[in-house]
Amino acid sequence: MIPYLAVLKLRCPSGRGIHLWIPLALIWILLLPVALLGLPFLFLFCLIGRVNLVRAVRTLGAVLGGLRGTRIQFEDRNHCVSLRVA
Amino acid sequence: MNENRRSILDMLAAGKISADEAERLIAALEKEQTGPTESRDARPKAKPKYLRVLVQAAEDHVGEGPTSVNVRVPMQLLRAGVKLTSLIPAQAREHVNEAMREHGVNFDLGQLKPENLEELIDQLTDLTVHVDQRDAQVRVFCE
Repeated sequence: MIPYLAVLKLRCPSGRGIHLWIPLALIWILLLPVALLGLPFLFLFCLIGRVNLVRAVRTLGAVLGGLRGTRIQFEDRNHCVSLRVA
Repeated sequence: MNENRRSILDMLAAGKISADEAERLIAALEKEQTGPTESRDARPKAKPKYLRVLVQAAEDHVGEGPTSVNVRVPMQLLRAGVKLTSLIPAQAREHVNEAMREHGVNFDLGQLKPENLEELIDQLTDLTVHVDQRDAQVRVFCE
């Protein structure tokens, strides 16, 4: 299952923070037409690189699905950047 | 001393069973007692779900104080990453293999198969890399 939410937290030296909830599900829906437009290019790439198109699509889906649960956090005295994919 | 063992020793003392028989019975009793714990230990370990990288630095170069990095990568992403290698065109894969050989890594990317990765991930359960320096600590482990 592809990720549906990303949570981004930022903390500036002034102490103020930004807490962003990014609804990825909406972004995927918005990107769907772009993905459909990009499909012929993917097909061309697969043709030139002699790669199975179905396998390529499934692998890209697996990479997207694998992003769920990713957490990256950098923190020092004044700054904090945290990204969580759910 | 438990009840069963005592009764075996009583039977031996009464001459109802021989010493050999008593020994066999005690051995069987011990096996029965330790059996369930062994089967509990023999249960397969839970597969790791995440690869964690933790870095703790005491002081960075620009004097921003202690810095910490906490990265959690799902194993599913690693699996998908390995599948990505199958999308690399054969010619490009040869270039990558050659570049790796030049740097002393004699490894064929084509041999990296998802089924091999499962085996590798199973072994990762016991992996812990711990680098400890005066001003920084790095820990890599699976959970």
